[in-house]
Amino acid sequence: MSRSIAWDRAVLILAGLAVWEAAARLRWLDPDFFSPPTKVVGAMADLATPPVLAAARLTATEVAVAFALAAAVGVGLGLMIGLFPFAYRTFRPIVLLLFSVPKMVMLPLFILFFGIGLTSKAVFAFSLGVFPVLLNVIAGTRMVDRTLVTAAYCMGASQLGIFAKVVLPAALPSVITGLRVGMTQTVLGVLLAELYAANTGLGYYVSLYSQSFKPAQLFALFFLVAALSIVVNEALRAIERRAGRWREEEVEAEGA
Amino acid sequence: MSTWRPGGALAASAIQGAALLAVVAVWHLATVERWVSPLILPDLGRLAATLVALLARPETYHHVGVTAYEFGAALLFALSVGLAVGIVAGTVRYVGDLIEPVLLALYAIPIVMAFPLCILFLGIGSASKIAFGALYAFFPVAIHTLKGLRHVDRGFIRAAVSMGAGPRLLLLRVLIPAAFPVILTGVRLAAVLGLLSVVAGEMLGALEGVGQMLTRSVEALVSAEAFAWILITIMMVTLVGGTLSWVERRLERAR
Amino acid sequence: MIQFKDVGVTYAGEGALGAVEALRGVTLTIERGELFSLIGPSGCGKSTLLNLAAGLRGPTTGVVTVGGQPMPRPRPDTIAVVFQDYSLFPWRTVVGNIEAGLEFRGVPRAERRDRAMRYLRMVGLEAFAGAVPRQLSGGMKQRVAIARSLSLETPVLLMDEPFGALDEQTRMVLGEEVSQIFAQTQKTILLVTHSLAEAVFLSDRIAVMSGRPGRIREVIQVDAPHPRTPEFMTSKLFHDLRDHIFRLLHDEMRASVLGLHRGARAEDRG
Repeated sequence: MSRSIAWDRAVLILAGLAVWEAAARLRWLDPDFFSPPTKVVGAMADLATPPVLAAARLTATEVAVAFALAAAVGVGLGLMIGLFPFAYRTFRPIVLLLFSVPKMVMLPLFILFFGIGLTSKAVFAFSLGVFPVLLNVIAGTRMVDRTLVTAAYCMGASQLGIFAKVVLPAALPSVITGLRVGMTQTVLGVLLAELYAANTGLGYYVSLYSQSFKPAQLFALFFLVAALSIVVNEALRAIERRAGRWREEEVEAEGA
Repeated sequence: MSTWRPGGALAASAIQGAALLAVVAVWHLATVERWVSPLILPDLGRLAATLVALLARPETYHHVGVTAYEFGAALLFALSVGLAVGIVAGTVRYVGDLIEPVLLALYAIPIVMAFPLCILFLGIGSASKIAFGALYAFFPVAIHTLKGLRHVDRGFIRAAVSMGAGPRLLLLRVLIPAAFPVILTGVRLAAVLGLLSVVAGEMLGALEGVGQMLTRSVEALVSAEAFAWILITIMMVTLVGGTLSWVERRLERAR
Repeated sequence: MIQFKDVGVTYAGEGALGAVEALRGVTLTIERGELFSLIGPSGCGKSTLLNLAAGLRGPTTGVVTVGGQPMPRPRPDTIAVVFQDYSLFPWRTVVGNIEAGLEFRGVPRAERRDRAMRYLRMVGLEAFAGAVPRQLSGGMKQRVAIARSLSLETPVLLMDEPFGALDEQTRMVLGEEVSQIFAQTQKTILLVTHSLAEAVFLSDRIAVMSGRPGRIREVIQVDAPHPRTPEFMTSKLFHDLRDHIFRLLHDEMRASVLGLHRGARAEDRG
């Protein structure tokens, strides 16, 4: 049954593309702005050139660095804050406060302070990506059933044993959720910073195509990045589902 | 496994207070000792004075007004389309099955990339910001409305149908009230995202508005004014988000 | 084997509620190899008594010893515990859950699987070794929990309302199985239960407790051979004992259920 729905969905999307193609060709939509999909696909060839690929590599590097940091800090700190009631009472409000401050408005200052190189973009993206990781890891750690900890304690588990064999497996699904949302935010941060600084990376090319009036290339870039984001997100979602198979109820993601 | 100790709560607050004081202290020292250039970090006194001066100027309110207008329009678009899509997808099972994964997938893409597209199509005026903000805010509304309606307790529906409720009544009297808290959460997220994306758009390319003023003051290296605009933005976001959170909580209690 | 000497437990006050005296002056000796039940109204402190024996908490006054030694912390080599909510690790398979207990006890890897399967067979669930707790019924989950605690091969077994979450029929069947296992393994078992029938059916002796603060009202002997049979449940002895406990408990139960005990508005402490 779900097989046919996926088929319907594909048909829907293709139909949408067809309408777009027709609208552009028939001049219902100005083809100078709304390049027809066929042109967009053609423009992808333009993107396969070394400078664009180099920019893509740079963007990917920034994402990788920022995400690695966000994951390390988010999981490490998150576990500690979630495990120890005192740390939770003390630091979670601080985390929430920092989370509620829109980091986006600090972007110009970040760039000013760190310059327009890789550092500023990675740090900015880190500041966006670390919070979903932190919040989900904290929540996941807190959700660990205390009676399971008690049972393990009675069976002679050491503190380390309880951590490794009870807390971690129980919190794992939430950790993955946090990483998934954190990844989305990290990519967002990198692209936003690149758009603002407009000097390197894919953000530069987005700005360039926009200013030099090349909508086909712009759409092409947009779709490629969108496609990549969707693939990565769905992959992480699949892992999340698999890891959370044993859960009895659905758990809301935090900081989404 | 540790029991709650009254001392613990006090110590926690003490540490939080100390952290706040530490931040202020470090800021102050950084400006006085010039660890950081005053072009980047203004001293607190100057910041306060600049903020006050800024709030006294009428043009400030012009820019706040522009941002508020763009935000309002964006939210209006997002709500109308988002609620429509969400209600149809949430009530008609087939439509929901069809588009829920599509919406969730689209939500994951960095929509920020679409901004130069908006500028390309709609120019550097308010229209591009409204379109961008609407695009961003659409998703939380549609997704939460969809989810809220689809997950209404079957028991309610059965009870209403057994009492003879037709589809229109079912929608208005049962489904929407039952899903309302979730929908409201979606609206709150949409409002905050919408406002932030409008400001971000202004930062990236605009003639007026809070974000643009922020960018200009950073470029002009007038750090105190930049921070003042940041504070104004934060105030706006807190106002919007806080009000909706408060409404959410009142609703929780009333149920 | 398990000794309570003049044990009292008082919980520190939380906010407006003030201190709660859960147990007062409990003196009890549970002999080696007997199945001993604690029964009483809600809030009478029977679970607290069990937690003392498990080493999960210490008494405010008095002494608790197991095998002659005090219990400042759990002793996994001596005492295994079965909880009301099964406490199975949902992310592990059935056999994985039993192996978990053995991992904690430091049993070498090569031995674990065989030992786990042996005890799974004892509770009749070897066909479900690869299943996940989510796929099991309540009764099956509790059998896995029992298998897990048996696999630890401890001389003492503590059971805190193990069948509390199960329906009547499952309770009866599992009760018969526990009786069989008891006869086979000759452990010392301390059982906390709400069910009069269960207490009489399974036990050698039953302590009837009074409501908060918990005290021992009477200790009743059940002279019937192990393993107990379904015929025992319809015998005159069974009914007499059950009636006796019922009469002892009835007033206490009413008071507890209707919230007439002092401090009974605090959440149920068993």
